[in-house]
Amino acid sequence: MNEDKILKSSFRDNSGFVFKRNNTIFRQVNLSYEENFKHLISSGLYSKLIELGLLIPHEETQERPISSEAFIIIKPVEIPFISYPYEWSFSQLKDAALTTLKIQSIALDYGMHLKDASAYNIQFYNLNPVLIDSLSFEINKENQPWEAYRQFCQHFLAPLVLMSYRDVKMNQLLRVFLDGIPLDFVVKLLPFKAKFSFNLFIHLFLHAKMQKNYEDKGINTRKIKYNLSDAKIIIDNLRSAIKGLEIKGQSSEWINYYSFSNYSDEAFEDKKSIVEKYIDLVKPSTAIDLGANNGVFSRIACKKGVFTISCDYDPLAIELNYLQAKKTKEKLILPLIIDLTNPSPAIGWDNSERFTFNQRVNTDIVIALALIHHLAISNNLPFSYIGEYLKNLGQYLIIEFIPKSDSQVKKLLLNRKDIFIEYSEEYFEKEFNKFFRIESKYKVTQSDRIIYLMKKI
Amino acid sequence: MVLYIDPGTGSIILQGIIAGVLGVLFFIKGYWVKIKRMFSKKEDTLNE
Repeated sequence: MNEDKILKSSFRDNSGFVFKRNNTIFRQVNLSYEENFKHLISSGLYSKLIELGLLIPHEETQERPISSEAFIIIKPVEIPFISYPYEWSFSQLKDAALTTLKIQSIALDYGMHLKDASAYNIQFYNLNPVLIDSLSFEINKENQPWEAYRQFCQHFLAPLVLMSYRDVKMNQLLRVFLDGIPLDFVVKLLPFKAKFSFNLFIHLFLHAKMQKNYEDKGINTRKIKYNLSDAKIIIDNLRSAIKGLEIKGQSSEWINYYSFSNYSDEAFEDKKSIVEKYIDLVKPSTAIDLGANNGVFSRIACKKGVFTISCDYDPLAIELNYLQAKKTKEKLILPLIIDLTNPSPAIGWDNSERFTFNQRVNTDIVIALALIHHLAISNNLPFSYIGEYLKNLGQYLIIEFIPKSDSQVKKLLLNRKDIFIEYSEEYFEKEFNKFFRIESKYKVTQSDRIIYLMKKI
Repeated sequence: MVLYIDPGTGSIILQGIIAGVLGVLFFIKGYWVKIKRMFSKKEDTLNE
């Protein structure tokens, strides 16, 4: 009966916490947050943010509270997949940052502000960044500067500036630094020219210096003169700093993948139609596309109403995928940067604040096209390891086998000894049969490639 | 202030400074816009 599970992702804030009861997510709002919660609703801020699609909607429930500190239990709309900032491309992080600032700006008009600005509080829902922590708002007090300013700079501004000025892969630092990238570290990584940007100079360089100067010193906040228009000026300034950041001129090996692929248009169309046919057979509601590149095959699933996580390890392919989805207003796709050979680990206190990639994935169908040769040959993975792993991600599997005769495989073997004697169609089937039952098998026209539909056993 | 995250003393003071400096810039910007408007009006009359 008592199977409530408190999620460790929300222990920092004593305003409340998230828990799971009978597979449903609830949030306990504590008495200590009662006044703020009531203000959020009664001031009209909640309705405004819901209307603009900036906050996750919730309903108030009569659920039994977890502890005596409870004021109310709310049930937020569930996000189909929780993703983390180190899995987002440049524009995803940028949109999440701008959303946070927009919420802060609107909150100020309703006499409230964001008491935290953690990137983990933003999730992609129908492709739009939304705030999922309904307990992030606090009633304004006089002369109070934004207490989440530092957190905002560490979680959003710093990684975006590093991605823009150095390399898009810099977002991976967020995997290491749970509370955003420390500013003294950020300024060491930035090129000298970054100092000439007025906004970056104050929010990063001067900010880092100020932090160091006042490291062990307290402050009498009554001495600070600070009002609403000052708060707006800072938000406005952060907004223009972030809007001005770009990643022009960075390229990657995968971006032109489809224009340089080794098969004909007919083969490509044939491959698309068999994938579509398999999806029609399974009728999934959720899918994950591994090695999705810019998401061509993910979109076949999306067009059939399937929520699809579209993963690739190339941050620029995911960037293109996201920008395209935004442009065409696709709601069912979630592009994410995932390196399958080293997926997101569990991080934070007790390794349980942020979950591993595998813990979060539970889909109806896994799509793994043009992937097996990269895992088996480039990464030396035995077929059985791959099969065992994929089995844990979904019920069904659409997988493409690419034989040694294929030019892409030949390319991978060009500069190395062929130690993969067992890399064959027969051996692949034998090993995958340990975890899956082959439901259907199809040879793509004008190529040696085979597409399988398998079901987990 | 009773806060659950540490805002950082330096970060708090910096916001005061930024608001001060940018506030002045905003003020100047306001005048600048007015001046520009005066000139554009003049140009308009010249064109007429």
